[in-house]
Amino acid sequence: MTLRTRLRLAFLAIVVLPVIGFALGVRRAMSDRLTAQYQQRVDALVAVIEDDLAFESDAIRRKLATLAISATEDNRLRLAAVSGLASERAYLLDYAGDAMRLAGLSMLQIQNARGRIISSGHFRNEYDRVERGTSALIAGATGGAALLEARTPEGPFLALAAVDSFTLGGRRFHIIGGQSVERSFLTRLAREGDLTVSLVYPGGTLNSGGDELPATAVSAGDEVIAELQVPFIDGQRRELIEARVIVRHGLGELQALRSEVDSWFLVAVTITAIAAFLLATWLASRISRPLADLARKTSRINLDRLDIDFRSARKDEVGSLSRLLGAMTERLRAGTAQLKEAERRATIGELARQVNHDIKNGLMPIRNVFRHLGEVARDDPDQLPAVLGERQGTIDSGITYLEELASNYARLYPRLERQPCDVEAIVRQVVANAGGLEHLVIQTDLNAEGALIVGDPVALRRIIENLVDNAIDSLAAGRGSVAVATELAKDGPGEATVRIRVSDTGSGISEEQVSRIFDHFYTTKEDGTGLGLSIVRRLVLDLNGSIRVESAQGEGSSFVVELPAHSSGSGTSEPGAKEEGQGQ
Amino acid sequence: MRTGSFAVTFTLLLAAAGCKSQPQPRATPPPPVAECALLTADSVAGSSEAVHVALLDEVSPASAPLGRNDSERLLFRHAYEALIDVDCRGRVRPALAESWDSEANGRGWRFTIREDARFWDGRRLTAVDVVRGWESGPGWVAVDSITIDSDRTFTVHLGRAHDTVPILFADPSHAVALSQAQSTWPLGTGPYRIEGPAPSTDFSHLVVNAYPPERGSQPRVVFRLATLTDARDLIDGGIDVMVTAAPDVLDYASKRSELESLPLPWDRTYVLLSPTRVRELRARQDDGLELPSVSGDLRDALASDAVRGDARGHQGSGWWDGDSACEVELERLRALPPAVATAAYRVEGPRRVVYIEGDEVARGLAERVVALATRPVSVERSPELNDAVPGLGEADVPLLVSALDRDRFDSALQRGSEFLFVVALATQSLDPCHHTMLLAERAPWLNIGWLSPVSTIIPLVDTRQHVIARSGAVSLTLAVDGTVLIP
Repeated sequence: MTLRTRLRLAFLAIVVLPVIGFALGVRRAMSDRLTAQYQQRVDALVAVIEDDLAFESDAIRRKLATLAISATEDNRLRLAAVSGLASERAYLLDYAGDAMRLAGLSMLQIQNARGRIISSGHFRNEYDRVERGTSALIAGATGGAALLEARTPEGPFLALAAVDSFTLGGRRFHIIGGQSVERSFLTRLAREGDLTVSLVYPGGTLNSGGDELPATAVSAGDEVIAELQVPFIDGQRRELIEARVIVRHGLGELQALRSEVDSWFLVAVTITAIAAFLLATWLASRISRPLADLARKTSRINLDRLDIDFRSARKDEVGSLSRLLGAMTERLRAGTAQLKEAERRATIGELARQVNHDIKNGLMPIRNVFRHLGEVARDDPDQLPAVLGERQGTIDSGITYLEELASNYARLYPRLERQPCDVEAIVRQVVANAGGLEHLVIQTDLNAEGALIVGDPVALRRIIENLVDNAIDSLAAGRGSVAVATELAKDGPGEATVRIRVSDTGSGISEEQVSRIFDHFYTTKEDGTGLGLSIVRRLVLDLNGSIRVESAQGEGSSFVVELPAHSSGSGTSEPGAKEEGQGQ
Repeated sequence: MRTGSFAVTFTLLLAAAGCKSQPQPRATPPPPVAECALLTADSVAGSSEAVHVALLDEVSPASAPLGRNDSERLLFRHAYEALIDVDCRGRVRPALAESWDSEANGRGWRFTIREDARFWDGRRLTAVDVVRGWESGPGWVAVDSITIDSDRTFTVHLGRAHDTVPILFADPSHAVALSQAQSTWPLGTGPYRIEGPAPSTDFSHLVVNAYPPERGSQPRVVFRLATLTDARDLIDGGIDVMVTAAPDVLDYASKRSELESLPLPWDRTYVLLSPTRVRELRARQDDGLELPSVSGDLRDALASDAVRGDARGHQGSGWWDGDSACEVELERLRALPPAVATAAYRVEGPRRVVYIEGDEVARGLAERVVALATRPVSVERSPELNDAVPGLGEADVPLLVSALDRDRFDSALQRGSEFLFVVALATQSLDPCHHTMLLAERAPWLNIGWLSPVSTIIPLVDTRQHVIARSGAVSLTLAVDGTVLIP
């Protein structure tokens, strides 16, 4: 994670989290306060409904008292109810209906002392029905009024009923009257639109709002509830039980307010987050840009380019760092100059030693030829022309080699001429040149006939000559053998390698020596320059090859050179395959 | 179907008209009698130009010529004529037909339309008009076929022989009313022609002017529809004739010295029709078992207490009691597959005792039936009602009263889809067989033909109307079916 990203996240967290915490706190406080207010309203409404029901009950009782007085004064009613006058029977049956309408009641019954209905206002033809105990149950209810299910021909309805009584001719009659409790009644009790009054009784549930509401009084979390117990006459069991008036205040308004607040807080948090992000981005940019500049400048530093300008006018840590990097670059620049001078000197020295070594190598076969000629001239002068003729090629070859060497050095650093080279031809030539010493046997095991590599044939000859010379030099007192072997190895599809192995039966090389044997100026010879194997390695590398040494102390050493085989056109030369136009 | 069969029969019989049997000697219609007069107008009070008649029930031109209620019967009786008329004593008089004779041993009756019979628009009434009028109404039930003999003469072929002219042709169901696309009211030939309001007029405030054929000789009759008005206000407003059974109106009229109030014959009988009773009767039919009906005491109790107005427990026999003479018609019914009530009562919801909305007598009876069927009751007669109506006393399913408008009631009665029907039937009938067929068509599930109507119909109370008339303002007579007529 980048420094800039970390800065942005940190800034977001620092700015947004407090805002969110603030929003949640405000939301919770608002909810608690509104819920408490709703609860107060619901509780207050329950108290008001209690008063209203008491008021309604009183009003019903007052009407019943008036009707009772009126009934006692009605002679036709007296004749019908007491004397049973048949002609007034219809008057009696219609009496309750007329009285009910006049009194503005929803139900009215006149019962005799045994509970027999003698006149019913809301169900005219239920006369003679017996409802024992109803008047007593109503009278015994708290407040002298109770809810009951009043029957009509079309179905029952719920009524808040009270009871009164009057006496005619020494007979006691009960007058039961009431108001229907229906949705409009509850709606009137509810008063406010956001309050719902439900009446839960054995026959069902009646709601002021008309919607089906749960009969439970347990708050579901989305409304505030309070309830009131109201006496109810169970018509089936003829007993007084409790119905419940449940007042509910829906939290829809609160939910809407919450949603609105949530929306605004969301907007605020979003804006804050965006602002914080932009600010964090700006600050991170201000902080990280100098560091990025330093990193970019630093990435451009190398030994060839130490002119990077790290100057800075800043007085902070970034400025100090920039100046430190500038000082470091200055020191590197000075060190690099010294290093280059040392390298230049080393290169000149190496060149001198290499010239010395190469010339010696070029002169050695010539000297051997002349030594041989001298011996022949001394020992068998007659054979001198023949031997001279025989060794003339060696002399010419040595001279040519020296000339080419001179030409190469003349160009200071010759570009290697890259051309197909016959490896075995060069091996044979080197082996032939190395011959002539007593007790020296140079064995060849050439299995890469026709194998070519692409490179400078001079360089390849120098590689093989150096290795063969080193092998000869390793033989104690010139005794032992040197073997040169070639083979064409195929490491993979389409890739072939010409492997040249130069082995000797010398004393071998220790492990320490193996690790340093290709270093410049490392030699185990008293008169060695320490450049032979290092030059060999460089030439091998120039030919895209590799060189390794396998040695066992006291058993001799083997130098293995592997060079990529040349393939004419599409492929690598297969073992044994000869390419046309290539000479031996 | 009926129209098609009628057309075929009509064509065949028209072709065979020339080879029919010789008509019997024509009967001489008796002259009108004055015994049926209810009230007589005096020379002073009866000299006004118009007689105002109150109609207290809904009136619809679609019902013509057979009225569905007292107001329609009163209005249509003055506007639409049948072939013959029967006075209050049962004597037959010519109406549209001036003469008639029989053939085929009383199974065919040839009527001759009076020469001056004309529709209100002046067009002459022909035999084809009569047949067309019957074709669209219930009058076709009793007729096998009709042969058109001439413009004024046609022969009606019946399934049953009649010794005298069949008085079912005096029934309003055989009155002639010709529907006209341009007119709200079907054209009639009656003594008064209706000049009603335009078709778009609100019929709840209908004022119908009925004019006598010759203006000036008789007063105009103004029928005022006042279903939403207190009938006592109409009296105060100067109405001349009103037919009502409302006790408060009658009581008010009795206190007005300028009004006379006369009871009319007991013409309506309220009965219970119960699909469960029919089903039980069918189940017991093989065993020859019957179900009890309600006793006279319960009928009297219902009449005295449950019904407001002039009512009595059903007495005597209704037209449905004697079906032995209707074997021909019953045989026709038995040829049809027996109908079954769609449901004894609603599968879901309460059982309902239904009546036609606005019928207070039916409402009172339905209320009382429900009150008696619901426990606890103290009237000992309630088991009797429960026995008469199987399933009535079941306490598990609520039993309620429900008022249905006439169309819904007729539909429910047709299907037998309610628990119990409170139905008003005419107490007497000019032709009981004809009414039997009409009832069978109205409530097929009664299985008339397999079950005797006397066993399926539970009669409760008889009711009657009273005519209130301004003294001396109008002459009134009484038709055989109890309808008040303005001569």
